Amino acid sequence: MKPPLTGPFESYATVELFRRLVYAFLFASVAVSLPSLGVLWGPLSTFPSRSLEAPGPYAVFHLLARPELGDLYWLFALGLLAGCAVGFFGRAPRTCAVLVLFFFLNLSNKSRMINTGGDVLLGHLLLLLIFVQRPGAPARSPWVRDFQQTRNHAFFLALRLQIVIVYAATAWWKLEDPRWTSGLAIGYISQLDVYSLDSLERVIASVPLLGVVGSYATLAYQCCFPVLVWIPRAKSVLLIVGLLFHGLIAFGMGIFHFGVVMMLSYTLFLDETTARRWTEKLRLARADTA
Amino acid sequence: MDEHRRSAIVGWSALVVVCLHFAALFAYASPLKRQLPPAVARVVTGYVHPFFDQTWSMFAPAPVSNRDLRLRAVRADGSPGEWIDPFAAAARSHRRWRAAPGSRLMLGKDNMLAWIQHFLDRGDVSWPLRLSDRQAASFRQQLGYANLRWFVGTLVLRDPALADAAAVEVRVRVEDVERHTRRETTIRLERVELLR
Repeated sequence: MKPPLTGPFESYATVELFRRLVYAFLFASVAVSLPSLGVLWGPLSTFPSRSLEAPGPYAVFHLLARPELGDLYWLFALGLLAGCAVGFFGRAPRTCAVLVLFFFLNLSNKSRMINTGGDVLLGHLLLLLIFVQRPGAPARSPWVRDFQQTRNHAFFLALRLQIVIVYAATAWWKLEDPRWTSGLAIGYISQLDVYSLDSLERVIASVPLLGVVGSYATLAYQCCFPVLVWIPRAKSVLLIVGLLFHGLIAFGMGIFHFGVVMMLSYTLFLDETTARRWTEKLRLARADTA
Repeated sequence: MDEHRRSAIVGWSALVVVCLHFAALFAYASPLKRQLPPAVARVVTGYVHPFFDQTWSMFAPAPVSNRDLRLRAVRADGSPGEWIDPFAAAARSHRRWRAAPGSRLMLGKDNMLAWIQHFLDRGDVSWPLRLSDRQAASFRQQLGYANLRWFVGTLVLRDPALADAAAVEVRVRVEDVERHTRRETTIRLERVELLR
């Protein structure tokens, strides 16, 4: 029997597609926020940074909470833009991966009040992404070569398991909440100004059954995802339904970053052929634009 | 050492590490956390926090509160100004374009008010029009107060309508869509405490 997480790593196209999409999204997200940088991350930001006593090495991701560095928030935003742009085009991938994580976590930790689950998830995915890299020159030592291959396999599995953990944990939390198990949750949420749209509220108010169906469908999807995503025949349907589900979260509920990050994370479950095809399509799209 | 044995050692070791890592994450991020023996919970928390910190209780319990706030300046002679909605522009932007920074500000507003509501929903506060001295003193020990003080303090520095305020009154309104109730309270913040 072949040992697990060994042999040549053959999912580079999948990881690279995910990495590039994440960099593009982060770039766009920061670019859109440029006029509001000070309000979001400056020393006089609308919301305070959580006074978190960052222990040891983790303090390096809380630099903007330090009064002497707080004014440099724009430098961190520009650094993130530059890291994403250079990384998107595949230059200096390891350095870019580290820099993007560094700038992203510093901005993210400065503004925890305005973060969504998407920001938290993205921080973890960016960390794991650092360790899935194409090797440079072939290693001479067989131990090093095995280690490199296994490292890529292990962190690729970790990227996928991180998504699975999100669904498994949130499904369990919801199963313990009577508002979800009684099918009323979506109906209530649709009435909240921050998490709904007037049109969505009107539709669910006029057909309450939609709210009940939506609540149970959400529960069912989140319970099934951790199992069905590993079954090739079920995966395609699951991911398409998930795109609709997270699209609704992003654009309907207005939790934009979370919805988009979850949609992007689905690329991690594409097989290598599909990922390569999508990468080609994106390249064609860029060529057309040029 | 032969190639197969070498691969097996590296591969199985990596798989064990990955499994242990995600077992710890799942135990930390799910309701399982509440059922762990204290010693195990300490080990899990020590490993996960702060670097891998994550909680995925998203929308559980499902939120049922529409929260809003208004502010008004109170001048030195005691005369109050007009009530203003500091998030009016963000709310418009949030409705129009979900990707805009306004959406982040609206989520921040809701988070900030959730902390305040958390305090006001405790047993010893009966949602009066104004907090009593004892309740106000207790509120000033809370995270909700720290967030609100920062928010209003930076607003006083930025908003001309609040520039000459000796104090700022904050009216917090919470509408419960499950019980169909509406409650509000007013919190007074002195200028000296805002800019401390």
